[in-house]
Formats: sequence, structure tokens, C-alpha cells
Amino acid sequence: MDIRNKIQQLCEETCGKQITPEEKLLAMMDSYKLMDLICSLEDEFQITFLPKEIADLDHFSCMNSIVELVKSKYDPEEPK
Amino acid sequence: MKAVFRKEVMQSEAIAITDGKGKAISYRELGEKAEKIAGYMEERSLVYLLCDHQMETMEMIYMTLYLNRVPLLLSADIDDKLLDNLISLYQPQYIYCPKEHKKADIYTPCQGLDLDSHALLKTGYEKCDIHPDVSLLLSTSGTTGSAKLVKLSYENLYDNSEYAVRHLSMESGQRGLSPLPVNHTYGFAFCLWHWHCGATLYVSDEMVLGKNFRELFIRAKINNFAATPYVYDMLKRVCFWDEQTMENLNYAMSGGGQMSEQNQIELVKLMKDKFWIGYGQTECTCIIAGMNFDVNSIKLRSVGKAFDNMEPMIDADTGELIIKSKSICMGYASCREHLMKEDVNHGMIHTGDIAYIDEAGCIFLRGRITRYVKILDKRVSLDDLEQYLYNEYSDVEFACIGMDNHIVIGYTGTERDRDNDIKLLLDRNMKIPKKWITCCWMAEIPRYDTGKINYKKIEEMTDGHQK
Repeated sequence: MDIRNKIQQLCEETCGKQITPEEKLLAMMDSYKLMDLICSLEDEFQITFLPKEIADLDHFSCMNSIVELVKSKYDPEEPK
Repeated sequence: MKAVFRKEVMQSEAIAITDGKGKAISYRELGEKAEKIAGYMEERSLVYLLCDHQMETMEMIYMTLYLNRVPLLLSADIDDKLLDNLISLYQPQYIYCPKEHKKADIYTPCQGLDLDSHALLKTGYEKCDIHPDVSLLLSTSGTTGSAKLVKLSYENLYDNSEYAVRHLSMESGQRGLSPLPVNHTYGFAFCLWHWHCGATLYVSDEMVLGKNFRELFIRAKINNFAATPYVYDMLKRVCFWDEQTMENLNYAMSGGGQMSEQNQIELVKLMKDKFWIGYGQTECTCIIAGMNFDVNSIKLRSVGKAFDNMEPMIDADTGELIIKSKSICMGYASCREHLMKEDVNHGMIHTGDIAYIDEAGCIFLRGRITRYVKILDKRVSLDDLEQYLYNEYSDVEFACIGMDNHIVIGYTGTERDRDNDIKLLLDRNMKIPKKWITCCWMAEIPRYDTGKINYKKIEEMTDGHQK
């Protein structure tokens, strides 16, 4: 499964519904769900979001933004 | 009229509630606004307040208490079926909710009352008799929308506020902000304490993880903060606490669950005596005990000493913590008729928590007798959960066990693979994320000879399924 599909799956699990790439995620999540999603992304891709990356909620505003952020941090060579 | 707040505060020009973005209302103005709304709500009527994090909602909570109407605080995103059950059971005369809420399409708004983004709806139900001492109703388990309600009196609210304000050095002129949901006792009490002493309550629906929340915190020079251990975890992830956020701090309290030892030590080191551990219960009008430990004498796992209005004792047989206080609720209601019942607790309650008290008076919690768990800061009744699931799947038996932040559900039936359905149902309707639930099919639910469910046996059977 590629990064985008995996992220979509995690987002859908967190939001409890199917989502489109541009759909506004923050309207569907409270802080708990967002934290849950952040932890799931970190576990899945073995990455760590920096405090300022998390605090800038625009990074999690829609699936496309998340894909962009994860891709910038994810090294597929790193063992999962 | 019975007062929840101090007389001198109700007339003051101090700001009671603000959104920190230009909207603000003083205590005097709130009183005047309440008098205008009084004509739309019959005296001593039962009002369901479907709460969100909007300034208008906070105003309505204040005003219903001020006017001696009797609010039941519920979440605005409560599951429809649960809300319908509560409506048919207690038959409130009014429902206050955001204008876009489904109930706004069903019931008629009070004509001539303009509440901006919210509506006060008339249900058409007859007024019910409510005991004159009852000031407020809270659900014993907000998540499951439990029909069992805690009846709090005017004296309960006044007593709890008086002592909380005293212990926490709260006073007029201070500013408080909390992400806690106001329909939970801890979130409600935080508001109440501010209103009691004439302090200013900031209301924001910003996510705590976001920079906007932090910016508001700094700009508003927040003095008082309350959250759960899980929220403190989130704040740690974004390095929230620093010189700027702590500059004006009077207290930051953690309650509504046990904080990890590491986090407690870190926060005590960081905030020193500004950091408080608190312990409370809805039945005790929120706070029972709390302490701002010194880093050199910190007692990990302790929830601190009982506040001066609380007399704690331990049941010699069961080890259960018992509390005597004027803050103890009048009792529970399970139907409309119970709202009229007298105080049955007489200032004493068994908390359901197993505890011990050391020689210095510090309380240590060791477990629970009652079947409640905390999932992501929400109190969940396992019995209610079983009932809810049974209502959804009448051909299946359920047995729920759990601990904080995890629930295990045993179920029977011909279909062995309902795990995902059950999880999805609870995620969607109860807001319990799937990852905190484990489901386990079993041929039959183990029971004692008396017919009662043998939860010990279920624990053994599902051992290994639990986190």
C-alpha cells in the first residue's frame, strides 16, 4: 500500500467515515482524534512530528496536506 | 431566589465571560440579560442545555442557574437515540442547542427570543415537579448519555465553589481558560468557580494542540487552567508550557484521571507550586481533594489532601473512600418523579474508589468498586454500555469490563465476527475510538448461580485481549 492510501486509511479510521483528499478534516476531529491520528501516522511511518509542525494545524487540515508533510519526513529506506 | 454565586459578584462590572476576540459580557449585564430571558422560561422548569464551546452557551448556563431554572448539561453532539431517550424519560420543557442541531427542526423556538447562533426550543411537555433545592442535573456517564442523573443542590454548588476558590487562591480579576467540556463536572466546576469569585472565564473552541490556543493563552494572560492528564500529554507534544504561558499562572490543575508519574514530576519541576493534582466526582460537585506538591516532598500517585469542606474516611471493611460534606449531591434520578425526591445522601457518600489516607492526610487511590471507566477523559458506565449494545443487538448478550483507557466487550450470538461492527457503532455513537475497544466472541457469557455476570471469569477469558 502506498503512502497516500495508507494515510487515507488512517484518516478514515480516525474520522469514522470515507474522506476525499481535499475534505476538511479538522471539522471532523476534536483534539483527541487529532492526537490519535498524529500518533497513528508516527507509528505507521516511523516518523516524529516536531512540536511546531503539530501546532500548525494547517498540516492536518486535509489529507493532501498530511501526505505532503509525511512525504517530507518519511524515509522509505528506514526499516519500519 | 436561591443563589449559586456571591451577591456582590452578580452586580459587578467585572467581565464574566469573553471569547477573547472582542465579545465580552459583565456580571451585571449577564444578570440583566437573564431577567429578559426569564419570561421565556417558566419558573423552575427543566431545561436541557446541549453544550458546545461557545460563549453563548456559557452565558446560558450562568443564566439558568441565576434564574433558578434547572438545567441538565449534555454534549451538543450527544447521540440522537440517547438524547431521545433522555427527552422521553424526563420530558424537559425546553431544549437549548445550536441552531443547526436536528432538534431545532423538530421543536418550536421561543418566539421573540433572539439568541444569535443558538435556539431555545419549547418541547410542549408539561412542567414537572422538581425539588426546590435542586439546582443542576448532570449525567453519571455523559458518554453513554446515562439516564441516571446526579441531582446537585444550590448548597452543593455554593459550598464547593467557596472552598475551591479559597484553596486555589482564586479572585476577581483573574482569567481562566480550559478545554474541558462544560457538560462534565470538572469543566462545569471550573466555570462555576470563576463565576463564584467574579473572575473572567475565557471561552474558546480552538484545539489545544494548535498555535491559536497558545496565542490566546498568552494574549489573555491566563491565570487559571484545568485539564485532564491526557490533555497535558497533548500540550507536552507541542511544548506548550514555557515562560510565556506560565508568566501569569495562578494554577494549572490536572484532574479527571491519574497522571503518569513522569509527567507529574516534570510539571511540578516546571511550574512548582502552580501545578495542582486534583481529584473529584460528579456526586461531590466536582473537587474533593487536591494539592500543589513541592518537588522535594512530592507524593506520586497521591491526589492530595481533602479540601477543608470535605471529611474523608475509609470504610474499614471494603477500603472504600467515604466523603462527608455539604457538597455531596442530593441523590440520583432515574425518572421524572425522582426529581422531586428529598436529599437521600444527607451529606455523605461512598465514592466507589478504593483508597488509603496517609498520616499527613494525603489520599492515594488504589482502584474502583463501581463499574465506571475513563476513556479519553470521558466517564463511561460499563453497565450502561452493556444495555446500549443489547438495545442495538437484541439477539446478543454482552458483558463489558475495562480499565482506564480500555474496554473489553465479550459478546455471544451466532455471528462470531461482529468485532468491527460493534467498534464502529461505539466509535460513531459514543465517541469511543475503536483503538480503545477490544471485542471478544464467547460461546456464552459466564454467570454465577444467581444469574449475575461473572466479570472475574470474563477477565480471565479475555486475558491477553487487554492492552
